[in-house]
Parts: sequence; C-alpha cells; structure tokens
Amino acid sequence: MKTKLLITAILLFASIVGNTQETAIKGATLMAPEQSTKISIDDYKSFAKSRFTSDKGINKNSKNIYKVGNIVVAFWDLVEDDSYKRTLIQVQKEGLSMLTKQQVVDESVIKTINNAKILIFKYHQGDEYSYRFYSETRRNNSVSGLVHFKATDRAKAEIIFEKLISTIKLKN
Amino acid sequence: MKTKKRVSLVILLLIGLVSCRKELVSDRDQSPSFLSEAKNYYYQQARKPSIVSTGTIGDIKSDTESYNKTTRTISPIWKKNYIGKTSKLTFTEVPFVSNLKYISLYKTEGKPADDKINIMRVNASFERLLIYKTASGDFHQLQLTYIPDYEYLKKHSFDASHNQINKLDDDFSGYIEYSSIQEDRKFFVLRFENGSLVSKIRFKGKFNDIQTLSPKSPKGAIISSKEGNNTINGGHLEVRCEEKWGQICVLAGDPEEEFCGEWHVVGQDCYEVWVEDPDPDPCYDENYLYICENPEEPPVMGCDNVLGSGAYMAECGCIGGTTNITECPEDDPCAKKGMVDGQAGNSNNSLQRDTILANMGTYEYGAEQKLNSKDANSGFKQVTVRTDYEASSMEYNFTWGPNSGYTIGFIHSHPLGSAPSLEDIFTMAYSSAALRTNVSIADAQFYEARSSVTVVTTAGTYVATVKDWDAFRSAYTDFQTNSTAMNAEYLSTAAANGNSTAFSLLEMLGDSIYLYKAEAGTNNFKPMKIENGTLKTKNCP
Repeated sequence: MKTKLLITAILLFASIVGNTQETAIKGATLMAPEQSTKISIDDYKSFAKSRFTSDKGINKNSKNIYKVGNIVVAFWDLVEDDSYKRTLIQVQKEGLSMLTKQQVVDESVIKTINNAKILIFKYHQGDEYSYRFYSETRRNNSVSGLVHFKATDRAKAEIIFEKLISTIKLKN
Repeated sequence: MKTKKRVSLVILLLIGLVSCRKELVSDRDQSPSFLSEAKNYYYQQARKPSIVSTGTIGDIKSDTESYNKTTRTISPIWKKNYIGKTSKLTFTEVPFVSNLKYISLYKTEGKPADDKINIMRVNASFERLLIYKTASGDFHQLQLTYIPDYEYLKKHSFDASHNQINKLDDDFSGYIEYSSIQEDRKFFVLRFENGSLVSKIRFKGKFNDIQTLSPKSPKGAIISSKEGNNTINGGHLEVRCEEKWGQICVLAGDPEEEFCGEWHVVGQDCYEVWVEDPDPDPCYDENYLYICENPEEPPVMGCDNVLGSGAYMAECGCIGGTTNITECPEDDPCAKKGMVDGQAGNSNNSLQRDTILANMGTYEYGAEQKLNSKDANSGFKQVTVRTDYEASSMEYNFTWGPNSGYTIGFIHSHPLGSAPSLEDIFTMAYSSAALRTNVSIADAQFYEARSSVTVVTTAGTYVATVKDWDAFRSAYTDFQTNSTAMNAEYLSTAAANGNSTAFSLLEMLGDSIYLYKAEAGTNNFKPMKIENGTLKTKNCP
C-alpha cells in the first residue's frame, strides 16, 4: 500500500514538473502552463461533462491537455489538407459568423507573436468562457488551442492564455 | 507434433476461405490504386460547380438566416477511408467534415423522444462519402448519413462510428440515408433493426402543403399513413415530416479539426414517401450496397422524383414510372375528351354543376375540383359551391395536399353566357407555376396532365384544357406583362365575330389550349375549333 502511494506521488510530481517544459509538437513548440496536470482526452471529457455544457471544444487527437485547477488548457497540431487551404482571415470570418449565432464574442483578432500570425477568439455563453487560437500555416502545419473555463476563473485564465500564446514558436 | 500443426493450419485456411465466401471482403491489397481512382473521381466531380451547393442549401426550410446564406463545403478525411469489395462493386467509405451539417432525425415509431434523446441521436449521427465502382468500371458517389436509434446508442456508449455500410453491428438499429453529395436531394433511407434491413423508404417528392403541414404539424410526426388504397402489396405510401437539425462548423484547413456551434432544429422536411416492405425486393442485396436499381448503372432519379422508376421526359412532360401516364396524348382534342367527360361525369363534380346552374342569376357561383390524392383514380372531394357575390369575378383557391385536396380544376358560372375568360384560363398556368416553384416538377407535371377550367352558362358548359404547356406558359408570361391589351383584344375579337368569346379565346390561345363545349342539358363534350375563320364543333369518334 505504501509502495503504491509512493509511486503515484512520484508520477504526479513528474507530470506536474514535466509539463512546465517546452512542448514540441509537429509544427510548433509551446510552453505548457505552470502548475498544471496533464490529462487524457477521456479525463477531459469526463471533467467537461461535469463542469461545462459541452465536451467537444478540444480536437480529439490532442495529446496536450492540461488542468490548472478548474481551467482546461489544450493545444494540438493541425495538418492542412492541400485541397482545403484556409487563410486565417477566412477562419476568422467564418468563426465570427458561427459564434455570433449562439455566443457572445469578446474578442476576435489576428496578432503577430514571435513572427507568426495568430488568430484569437475569446467568447462566452453565460458563465462559460472559451479562448481559442489558430496559428498561421507553415509547410502545411499549424497549431491551435483552447482555454476553457468558468467566469470565476477568468482572471487566472486570462494570464494563462496570454502566456501560452506568447510561447508559440512555429517551426520553419 | 508436426501433424498437429498441419491440421491447425489447414483448419485455419479453411475458416479463412469460408469467411471470404460468406462475407464482404476488405480489399486492402488493391486499396492504393482504387483509392487514387476514387479520389480522382471525387475531385473531378468537385470541380463541377455543384459540390458547393449554395442554391440547393437555400431551399432547405430554415429558421436561421445563416443557414440559407451558408455555402456548404465538405472535406473528406482520406486517410480514414475504408475500402471494401462485394461481388458486384468496389467501394470506399470516407468520413468527411463539413461546415454545414444537416441531420433529418427519422423517428423511431412507437418510441417517445424528448429533446435529450434527440440531441444524443443527432450528436451520434454521422456522414460518410461513399464512392463506388461498378463491374463495368463506372464511378459514382453518394452521401451516407447514419442516424442510429437511441436504444442502440445506449448500448454502444453513444458511438456508432465503427459501423460501415457492409459491416454493421449485429444489433445496429437506426436509419441510413442515401443522398446526393452535391445537391440537397435524398435518394432513399434504409431502416435497420438488430442488424437487419427491415424497410426501404423512397422519396417521391418534397411535400409542401402550407395549409395542413408545417409549421402546425407535430415535430417528427407521421402526418398521414396508409390512407385508403395507398397500401398495396410490397409497401405503402405515406407523408412523413422529420425534424431537421443543423450545425454550423468552421473548417480550419485540417479535415480533422472541427470548430462547431451547437446543434439545433432548423426546420422540418415533409416528403411523400413510398415505404417498401422487405424481401423479395432485390434492392436489399448487400452486394449492391442496397443501392439496387441496376447493378451496372448509377441510381437514376426518374423525372417523377422516384429513384429508378424509369419515368422520363417526353414532349408532353414526364411520363412512365409513377406518373400513371404511359404515352403522350396525340395532338388531337378527342384524345383528351375521355378525361374531360370523366371529370365532368364524376358525381361530386356533376353535383357542383347542377348547383351552379340552380343558382344561375346575378352572381358567379363556383368551386374547385379536387382529387383525394395524387392518383388520378382516387376520386374527387366534395367541394361546396360558393359565391363571392360578384357578377363577373370569383376567387380561385388552389390547394395541394392530402387534407385540403389536390386541385386540378375550377368550375364556375358566367351568368352572361360567355366562354372562359383569359383570367379563367390562366389559373392553370398560375397553379402549375406554384407547384413547380413550391412543391416539385413531378407534382406540377401530374397537375398539368389533368388540369381544366370549366365555365357553366345557361347555353352550355365549356371546358378548357392545355394542349401545349410550353406555348401556354409563354402566353401566360405575355399576359402577366400585358393583361390590359390582351383582355381588350379578347373583347374586340369577340365583338368582330358575332360576340363569340369562344371564338376569341381560340383565336388567341388555340395553339396552346383545347376548348370543349357540351350543350345545355347534355354531358357530351365536343372540341371546338376555328376552321377557315369559322368556329365549329367537332364530333369525336
């Protein structure tokens, strides 16, 4: 029993420490949030079901999903299909068109961060907030991510999101 | 020891052989070349303008303006393709993402559904692209939409995406809709229960009876079913209305990335459908992926909107298939005399005429003549004769539906004894145009083959039918822009020919209509014709 507890504690520690490192995905590197716990997509779905109205915000292939308290942070690779190339402006226009039907859009902007264009959507419905980003595409690769939280965590989530996007470094 | 191993090997080989014969075979060895061919075919089709179907999406009933304005784009996830082969077809089934998704939530009869169940079903429904190649090497493509039942989903953790058209779970219960990938057109829907196909629902035509259906009809309800003689061997006709759910997504370049809004009900679709019962229908052959029709040919939509019916466009319109018209009538008014006599002789219609005659006086009296169903032999509804208390006009109320009736005629009096006016005649063009715009071409063609206008006078009864619809529509277009001048011509021509309005009508529209007259007190309709400047009646054999 003691041995088991010890192993669990070591694993948890490793997980927390590990994910503060720079994380490399196919098209970019990002810094995972500090003091976060890495979780699986199934863990996310289960948590989202209990806390949020939807568990579908995160790309199902995402392997980088973290929890900071009740804030969920995730990012994932996007591989552009040559047949369906999309510009950030197209995604922004369509995203706004879709989001404004059911959500309140707090911000929609394309920023340049570390020499890469990043499209940001901040929106909410009731007390449930989503901050989402899409990077520009380089060599068919880009990165996207989401920070999902409730209004009570907004201040903390704001810092986490801004810090996360500031660490995006697209691979050339 | 060696012997044992050999025996096991032989048994394994035998099992393998038996399996190959019994089941559809996944043809992974030939996958790359077939997939390349299928992709080439898909992109060739995609280059045609219809893959992005703005116009047809706009036709979908919607309560959200955005749905009408959104252009549908699809993005196949080729790397998740599944290639299969039957004894008749080679095919690939490919998941795809789309910025605009629609699910018709076919109701499970007898099972109550609430919003929670509906949302669970919609969320678990999914679309696939099916590209198949026939034995003769032709490629075709379809959209499959899987709409599983709630009870089935519950047993499978609300995920049915492992199903494939030739590899359904043994307990799969739900619907699979076959539709066009390029247009808003459904071909048919298969109903499965516990892995077995139990019925096939074919769409006869989009239904649009504003008076009796949407939005008053209950959501997801079967409005009417198995009415009267609509049930015959092998299946039955019914009108079905299904809740239509929609979802808008943003495509971000990666086919696997879906950034979507919530599902919500965007309207309801009503269709007249033919529900086929199971065997021995050859369409149930899984080797043809249930597409049936002709194994070597793509499913061809007849001009009556019934897949594989064989209905085709002839010079007189859509004939064959389910139209009940086998050949075009000759350009001979006597050919339509039978129809005119039959409609006039119907007991409900002759009662209308008698009532109109009994009320002959200052005002026009009249009524519409309505079939009970879209079957020429279904009989006429009893429509009460009425008056608007006007001496020279009467409102025409056209309806098209099972409850309100299928209007194919309009009978009314002309107390002053004149033949049908231009306005009277063009009610047929107006009705045809309304059906073409709001219901379907097939319904319009059904109407056009049977429509008539009847005017009752003390001197006799006139019936007008359309001889040439193209010419008639053209005349109607002229009338819409120039009715004053045409009405003046109608009167002046009559005045110059012994005040015969029948003469002026045939002089002006004789190329596009037939005019018949039965003398007072008779039912013997004779075609009228202008010959050498004189109006004559013709005796039919």
